[in-house]
Amino acid sequence: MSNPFFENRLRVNRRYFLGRLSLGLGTAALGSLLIKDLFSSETQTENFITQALPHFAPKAKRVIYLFQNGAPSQLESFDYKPMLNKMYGQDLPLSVRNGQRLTGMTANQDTFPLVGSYFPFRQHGEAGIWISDLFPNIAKIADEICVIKSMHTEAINHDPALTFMQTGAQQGNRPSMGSWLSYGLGSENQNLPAFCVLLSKGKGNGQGVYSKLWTNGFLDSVHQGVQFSNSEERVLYLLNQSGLTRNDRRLMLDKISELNHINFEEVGDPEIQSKIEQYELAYRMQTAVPEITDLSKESDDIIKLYGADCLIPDTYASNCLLARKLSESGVRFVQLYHQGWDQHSNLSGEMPVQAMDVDRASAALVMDLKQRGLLDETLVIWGGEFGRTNYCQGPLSAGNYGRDHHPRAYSIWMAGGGVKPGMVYGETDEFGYNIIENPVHVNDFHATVLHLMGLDHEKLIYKHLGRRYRLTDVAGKVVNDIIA
Amino acid sequence: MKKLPSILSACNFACCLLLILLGVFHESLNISDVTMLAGRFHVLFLHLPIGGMFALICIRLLKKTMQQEPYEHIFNLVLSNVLLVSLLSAITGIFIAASGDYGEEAVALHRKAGMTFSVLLYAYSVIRHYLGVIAETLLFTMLIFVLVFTGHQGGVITHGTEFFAVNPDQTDETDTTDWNKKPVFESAIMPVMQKKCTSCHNEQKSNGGLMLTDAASWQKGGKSGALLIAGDVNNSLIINRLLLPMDDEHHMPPAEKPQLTEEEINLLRIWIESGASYTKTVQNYSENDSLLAIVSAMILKTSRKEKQYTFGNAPKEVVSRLNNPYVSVKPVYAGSPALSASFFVASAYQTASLDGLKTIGEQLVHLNLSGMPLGSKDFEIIASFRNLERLYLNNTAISDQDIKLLEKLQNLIYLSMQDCRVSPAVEILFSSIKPLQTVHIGSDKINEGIIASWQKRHKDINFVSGVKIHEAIPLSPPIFKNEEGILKTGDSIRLMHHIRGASIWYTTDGSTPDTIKGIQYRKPFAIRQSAEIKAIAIKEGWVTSQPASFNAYEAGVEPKAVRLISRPAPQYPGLGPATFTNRKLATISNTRDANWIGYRDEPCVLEVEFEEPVAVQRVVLNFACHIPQYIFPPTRIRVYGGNSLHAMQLLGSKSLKPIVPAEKEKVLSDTGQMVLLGKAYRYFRIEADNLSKIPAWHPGKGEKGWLFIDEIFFYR
Repeated sequence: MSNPFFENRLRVNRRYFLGRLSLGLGTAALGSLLIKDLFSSETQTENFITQALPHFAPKAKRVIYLFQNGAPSQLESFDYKPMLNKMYGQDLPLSVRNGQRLTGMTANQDTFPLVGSYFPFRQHGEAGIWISDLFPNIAKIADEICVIKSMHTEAINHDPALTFMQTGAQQGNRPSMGSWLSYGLGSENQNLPAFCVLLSKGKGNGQGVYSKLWTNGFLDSVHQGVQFSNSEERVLYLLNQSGLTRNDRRLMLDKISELNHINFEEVGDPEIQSKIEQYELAYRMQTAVPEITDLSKESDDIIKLYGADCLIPDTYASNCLLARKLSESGVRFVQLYHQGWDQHSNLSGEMPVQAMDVDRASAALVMDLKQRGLLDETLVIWGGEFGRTNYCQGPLSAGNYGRDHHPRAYSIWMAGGGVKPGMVYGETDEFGYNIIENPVHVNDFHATVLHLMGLDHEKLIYKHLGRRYRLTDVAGKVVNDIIA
Repeated sequence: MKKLPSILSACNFACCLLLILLGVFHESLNISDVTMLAGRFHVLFLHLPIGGMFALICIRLLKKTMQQEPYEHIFNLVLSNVLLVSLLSAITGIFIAASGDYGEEAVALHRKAGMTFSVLLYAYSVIRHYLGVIAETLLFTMLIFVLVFTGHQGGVITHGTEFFAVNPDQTDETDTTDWNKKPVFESAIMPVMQKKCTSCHNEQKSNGGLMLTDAASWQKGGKSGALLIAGDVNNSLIINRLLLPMDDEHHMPPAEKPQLTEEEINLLRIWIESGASYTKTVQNYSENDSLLAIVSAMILKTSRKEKQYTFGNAPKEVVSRLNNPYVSVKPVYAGSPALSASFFVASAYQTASLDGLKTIGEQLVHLNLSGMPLGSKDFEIIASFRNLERLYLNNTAISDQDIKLLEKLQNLIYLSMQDCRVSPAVEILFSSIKPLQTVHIGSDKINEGIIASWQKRHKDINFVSGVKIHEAIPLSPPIFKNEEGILKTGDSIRLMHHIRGASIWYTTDGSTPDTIKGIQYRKPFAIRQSAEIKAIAIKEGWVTSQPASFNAYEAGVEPKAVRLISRPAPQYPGLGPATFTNRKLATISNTRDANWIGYRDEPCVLEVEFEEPVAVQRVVLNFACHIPQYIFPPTRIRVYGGNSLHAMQLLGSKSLKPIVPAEKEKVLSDTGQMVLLGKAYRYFRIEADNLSKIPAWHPGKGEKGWLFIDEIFFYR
């Protein structure tokens, strides 16, 4: 019973106690009349233990989410629309836009001149997936990836869209995807957090990331994402200060834990229990983390695969390599964010720089997982929070344009983890504006990820403030067509 | 109210007569729209007699507690009502059965039972007063049994005979043995029908007069005509119905029922296109036929379903005892007897933990020991886990001896040995372990040629080799380890590169280094006054890196005061005059950094005063070059000197190279210097002009450019 997940709801806090008082006494009385031992604690623990396992045989055990923060343009990456090049400079037909709301950044524009990709596209792999020349390495793994061209979301600005993608709600008081998986599946390796967060920044126009994106929300704090640092020491203040031995640390933790337990007995706040757990986790991480974050023993083949940047701690490439190592060591959910994809202007100048940052390492991660036999149990997801408009934001000039936010259609790709490799799912119209086939809503995306992890999105619930919450809340359909 | 019992009894009598008539002549019944509509009410009425009988039972049970008269009143009233709804239910039942949508055999039994119940109930209501207690109770009990039987028969018609099977999911299981010898129709199409269609189109219940249970019924079609036209998908009814919009009432299956997947519809289309043969097996189709591909994909998928194991669950206490922070043992999924074990943290590895798994040796099917310091003893233990299916040994020191031990793992499907130092001797495993499907292998002793030859000899195994990048890719630029660009006394420049064996070459004059012009970096070096350092990294097999640049400054002579003569832009006042001499460098990415001072409407003009005359030989400016943000280098720098503010003379003037379109992305902190004759003066006046007109290739063409200055240094 050391896993706090099992004890989670048994903690008596005021709300729990009052909530159970009225109903609980009645049912307990009735229950004990009918069947003896119906409410004995043993059956309850059983139940919790089974809940911490997949509901059915999972396709994937772990997730690595390569979040492209700021929303990379689908029209310069995976959604090939030659029509936009043909109609260069012409106004977006009103019938296509069809009353779609726009952001304050382009709503007052007099015209919406269409603009096609500045970068050529080519078909790759057996399925002939269209990929722009900005991503030559991702193009090489075309046979491993499933491109979804029909993602759509409800939010039109970064913060709500990001929060929606991460937590299934736009407001930001709900648990992040990684926290839900930590809650539902627990940790494979008790020496590492089940949910790790790695940040990096490109040179393009950036949008912030903030800790609410990896919050545990109303779940127990042990499910919170742990943010790694970009310095040479990837987890700050983890190691013992000089002069403090591991044994000293143990003694100190035991004493602190004793005091915390006394406090817990008195106050009963479940957060105290979380704190005790976190101290213990950090103690175990002292051995595990240096082993994993030490990249000095990586072979030349691996370094070449991820690119020369992969040994510099604040780069996307090094985060990809670290993500592989963490995932290989049983971390349930590794979340990367790469900032700088918000190309409102100067798209033709910034997009190549951004693409160069992520192209090699993203492909390397998939290939590396594959060579280690981990790809079929690790789900890799690559994508942003929404798409970009097919018309130019601001003045359109030869070779220089920008694109505004577009929630109606965007592209992401997934690889491994039981997703069908080498396929394209969904289609947009020839303007790349509206989805015409197989739309995938953010809730559907969440349902599918949970399904691949062996969880039924309708059964992974947590009761809070008197109602049951899910990652998909009251919606979401598993996209069976992309599951191998 | 008093009339109610007699009205009911009259109704009941009439209904009973009608029922008997209908019962006798049901075969010659003419179906009209009215009777069809009436028939639909059967589903409403049929539940009422069941509830009513339950009420009667309850009332009977309370008989002893009640007085005779109220009891009789209540019982009679309820009985009459039950009788009425039973009769209505039976009559409407006969109508609905006559519509012909249901299998005659099943309906006949239900009809007989229903009529028997109604007539018997009528008889009971008439004669129960004349019967003795025992006879009355017997008759009543009999009624209950007849009702239950009738209800069950009705249920069979609507829900099928297997509705009460303990595990309804098992009907989903399709027998996939010999699938390639059976007709495609049976091996691929019928399973889809059984899952999604035959619950409404079967012998018992053939909605729309259509059965879909076998080839004969397919060929017969339904009321709307032939089910399909071989070779003509677009005019085949079945496909049309499947593809109608969900809200169309003819869409099949009905909106509330499970729909066919895209793949399943596709299967039907291709099957119809290729002639809709009920007898052809996959072997009759050519190898390239798309039907063959889709059928095998579908069938193999269903047969790949969760594997069934013959061994039982390991005791829970045993499993939980084996778990510790460094070993995780868990069921593969909830309820599965199969276990998976993973080891973590190499420095905490103990052979005893692996040995402990022997207690669950039978259940252990997945084992992950990647990165663990394993020895021969450990491999002996691994070889004892006979049921292992997946084994991960990435990054372990497995020897040829150990490989031989693994031959005992006769259930192994998946083996991963990436980053191992195994020799080609590992090949013995591929022929001796029959179930082996996937092998991941990467070792410096095994090249791509060896793997290719294995692939030829062992066709059933999928070999995945380690990825090797043969092309040369660029090195990352060297990194400056100095935290500040302004050096403290005695500080030196420190450079580094993360990649082993990469050499660093640098220059200090702003020119691009190479191995001839540059100096190889071996240890930290000092600079004099200021330096524009550029450095590259070189390694064999890699493309030389882009240069990294870094401006480093010694503090130089500190002025006594700086006075602004021109006005900086109000948005970027910086820290006022102190900005130039506070010896803190601004970050280039942040234009709001207070260490920048910005000019646009006026050029930068300032006066500098020293305590005493200083023989300045070089004046160095640190400024921003952020072209996308309209920040350009100064176009011209002029320095004046004098010992009084009124008698200043021009010491030097320098025009800087204009920015060209190729530099439109340039973002860096730049440096510009002016070499002077070194005559001593107390006062200096510096003028730096901002760009007066942004060139045409820039989005801000025609506007004035911004000038951002950070620091000014004076060196003797």
